[in-house]
Amino acid sequence: MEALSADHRDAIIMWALAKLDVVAFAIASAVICGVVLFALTLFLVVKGAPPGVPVGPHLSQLAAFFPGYSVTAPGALLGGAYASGVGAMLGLLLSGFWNAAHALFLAVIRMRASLASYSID
Amino acid sequence: MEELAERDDLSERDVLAATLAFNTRVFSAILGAFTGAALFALSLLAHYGTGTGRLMVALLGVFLPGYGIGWSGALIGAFWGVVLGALTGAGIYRINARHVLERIDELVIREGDSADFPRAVLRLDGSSLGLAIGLIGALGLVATTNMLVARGTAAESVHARLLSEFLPGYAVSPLGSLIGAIELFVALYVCCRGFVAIYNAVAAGRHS
Repeated sequence: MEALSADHRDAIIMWALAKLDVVAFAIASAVICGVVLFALTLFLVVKGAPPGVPVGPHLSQLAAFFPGYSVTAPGALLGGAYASGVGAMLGLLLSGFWNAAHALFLAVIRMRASLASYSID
Repeated sequence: MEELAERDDLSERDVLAATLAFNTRVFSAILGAFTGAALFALSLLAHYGTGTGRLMVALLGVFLPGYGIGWSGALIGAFWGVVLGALTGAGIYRINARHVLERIDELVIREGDSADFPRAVLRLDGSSLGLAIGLIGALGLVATTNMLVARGTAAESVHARLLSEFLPGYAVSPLGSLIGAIELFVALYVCCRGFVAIYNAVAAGRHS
């Protein structure tokens, strides 16, 4: 029972200091961001607008950041690709910072343990 | 024996509380830095660029007093970004980690013991993350919408009203904000489930 509990405590610490898989995180972020912008754009295209009224004038302002993007079917694909790139970058940064913070924390613990093991005598 | 078991349980919770506190601070710091940097960059982009982002800065300035185009506005925006990002990060992490004790073994992929510390890769829980991000997003929508209602500019909030294009039933009113919040919660929850499914599948493939 005691051993089990110690295992559980180890598991908690292992979970707390576990690293994120940077590649998996970037891929997942890329896919979700890409699909979301693709779906939002396509939704507006399918919904359409009355004659003479532009479709999605506000969303199309993303063209300032994503050159070539427009609220059209090909624009949805291009926007999805751009958003995937941005998502991948954000995912890389977020998971990279997370891992770096934990690596730094572990390094400090190791250093303190190593310093504590020295005897002044 | 019962006393010992109780003490074991207590120390287990102590360990969890300490690790949660550390990770909450880390996630808050990262999200705060990201949000602060994004608001700072957006303001300077609007200032020095060709007008890109001016509307966005103006709209955000409604909710973030002092935020505007230029250096002083950018610095105030960075402050707001750090504060709000950190609070949001803390909220997301705490809600996400609520039931971690019961599922701890499912949330790590062991990588084998290194010399001094067993390393592992984190697995994510879709329902917890979806609940956390969905709740924070929904509360954010309710709070910002009702801020517009409270300041008496709901009728002029044409940009906020545009959300009803994607969230049917949403309106700049207390009831509209609740309808929008429910829809936003569902959308964010589904996105998080998708995100976690992809992340866990790729991570498992790379580390098993």
